[in-house]
Amino acid sequence: MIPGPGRERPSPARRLRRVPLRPRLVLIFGVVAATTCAALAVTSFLIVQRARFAQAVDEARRSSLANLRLADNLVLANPGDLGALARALARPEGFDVVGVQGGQSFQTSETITPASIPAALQAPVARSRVALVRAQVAHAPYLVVGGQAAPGGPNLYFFYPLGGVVHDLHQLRTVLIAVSSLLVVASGLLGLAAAGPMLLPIREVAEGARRLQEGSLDVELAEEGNDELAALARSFNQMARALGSTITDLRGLEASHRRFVSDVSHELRTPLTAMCTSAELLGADLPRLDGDTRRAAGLLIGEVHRLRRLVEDLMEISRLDAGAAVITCELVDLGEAAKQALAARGWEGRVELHLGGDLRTYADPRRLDAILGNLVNNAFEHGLAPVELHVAAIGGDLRLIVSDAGLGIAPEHLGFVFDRFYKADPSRPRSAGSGLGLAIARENARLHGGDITVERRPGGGTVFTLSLPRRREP
Amino acid sequence: MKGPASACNPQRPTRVAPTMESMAAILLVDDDPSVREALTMALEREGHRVDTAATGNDALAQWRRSPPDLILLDLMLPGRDGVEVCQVIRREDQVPIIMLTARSDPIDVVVGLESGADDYVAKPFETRVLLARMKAVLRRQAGDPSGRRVSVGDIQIDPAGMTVSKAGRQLHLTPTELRLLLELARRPGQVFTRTLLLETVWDYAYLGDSRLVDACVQRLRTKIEDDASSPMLLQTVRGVGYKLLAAPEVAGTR
Repeated sequence: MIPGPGRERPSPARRLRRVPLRPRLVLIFGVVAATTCAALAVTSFLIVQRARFAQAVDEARRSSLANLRLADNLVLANPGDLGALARALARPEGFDVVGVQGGQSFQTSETITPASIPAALQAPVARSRVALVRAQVAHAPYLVVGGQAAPGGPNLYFFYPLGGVVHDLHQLRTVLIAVSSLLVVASGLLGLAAAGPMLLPIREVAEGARRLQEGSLDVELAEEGNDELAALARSFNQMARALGSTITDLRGLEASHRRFVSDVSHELRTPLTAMCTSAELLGADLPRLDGDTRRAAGLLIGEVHRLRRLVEDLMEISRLDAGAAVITCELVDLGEAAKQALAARGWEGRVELHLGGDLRTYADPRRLDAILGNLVNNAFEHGLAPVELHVAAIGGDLRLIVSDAGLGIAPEHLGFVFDRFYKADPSRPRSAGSGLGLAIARENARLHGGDITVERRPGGGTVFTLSLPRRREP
Repeated sequence: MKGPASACNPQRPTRVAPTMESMAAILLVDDDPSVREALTMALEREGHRVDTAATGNDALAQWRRSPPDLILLDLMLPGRDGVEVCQVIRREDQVPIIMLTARSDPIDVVVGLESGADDYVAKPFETRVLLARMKAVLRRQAGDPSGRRVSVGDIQIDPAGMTVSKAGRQLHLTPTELRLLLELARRPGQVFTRTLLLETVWDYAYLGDSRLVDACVQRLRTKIEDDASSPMLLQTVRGVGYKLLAAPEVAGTR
């Protein structure tokens, strides 16, 4: 519709593109109609104007020449008698006459006097030539023809009024302007009417795209007709189908991947149960073993313990992934929960606890405890003392902030600490954790409608913040 | 296991001393031979006497031949599964049952508890956790010889004799159900949180699974209420816990 303008100069067409489609169409229809009408009107007006003036000049010339010939005869018959000439020309039809000879003159109209004679005529008439000019006489347009009646006779000036022609042309102009304006308005309305059906498919495409964005992969637009808009609908449908099948494939892949992880962890549980029990029996007998056997048994016991934790965490994360995790909420005082979580792990002396405000909310106590345990344990393992735990009510949220005084996590690693099995520094000794702890903690926070964020403290150290929206009912 | 309690497992059960008091006849039902062998060793070392069964039918036969003090029951069994075995036993016997679940999907745990298990332990577990659960459930079964009789409405509870009757008719409650009822009946009308009940009835030192309480309340209702689907005595206080009313409460009067 609108040719794309060059990138470098913001042309009017480019500014037009900022106008919504519907007004733009109306505007374009209007501009096209106005241009066409103006061209037609101006051209026709000029042609008519030219023809009417040519006709008037023609008539004036013919009439004045005839009258001059008549005057010739009269002057030759009564030389020097201006009165006879005045009488002969007393009642002219459609024009007025002024005659001048020496100091004498006559006139057929009161308003047109010798003073009305255009200066441009006097020189040619003095040289016995017939001349014609357009002139404004007494505020009205006239064609004035001047000539000499017989050699040495009086100079006669014929005044032909042009008022009729000018009036007609005025009327023509008024009509042309009125009709053009009507046409412009009509085409604007036509544009408005045309925009509706034209824009409908575009609106459908927009609606389809919005639904696609919301996740309904079965969006299908009507592909009626054979025009560009139907082509647009077809292309859209093809895109939606392609997108849908890709997403379905990916989801299937992801689901089977998760099922696999879940199945593997389940399958590992039975042998692990036997292993754990045996390892514990072995552990009780460890002092009675000697040398390498004892060291090997110690290693075995430690690794079985680690494996058990890993499988437990894998089970938990696959439950969370599958959406099978449920939260059973009860009224919890976050401060009390923090105290108990620290006490249950024997950590009271190692953490500075700061409580403030009304910390009651409905939450799942076990999941809350898991988050707390994980964040604090994380601070112990990766940070340095003092580890601080602030629990506070901020606005509608409850915040639980765990900070340590270690070196802090390098900025390039900050974005990944919640990733599964992410190791910030591969050269560091492996930790006792499964590598899933923070991922599980964050999922647990999200189950509550909250989240966990991490940042570096300016003076060194890492700050993990659990924010939970306060729930006033279970 | 040694070392501090891990972040993932905050339970700190007390250690079981191998005394005569904790000695019991255990029926261990699990289809995996290694699990049976390892657990048998661990339990015998604690002084218990262990019989084992690998299938559901085998378990039922063993249970009839020599009634145990406690059953450790894996839910995933070939043939008749653990849930069915549990239901069959519960029809005749209120022996304590602890489920061993390899699948800890919420639905499996709930189904197991609703079929009548007293407690559950998710595989893989630490032996000391299992022993602590066993000790707690055996203590409930032993009853309270010095406990006084409690009556709420037409329900009579005898903690020493481990009997409950309603309107003179004997009710068959498991030790856990009886203990829960007793706890609620000692303070009629008072609301008990799930956390508190897990501590007092199940002996969880810290944060047990609240589904244990919910499932047990559900089973208790089928035994003491006239209509378990609209309980008049054992009522839920939404978002808080449960309370037992001395007399059926009619709406509008107090």
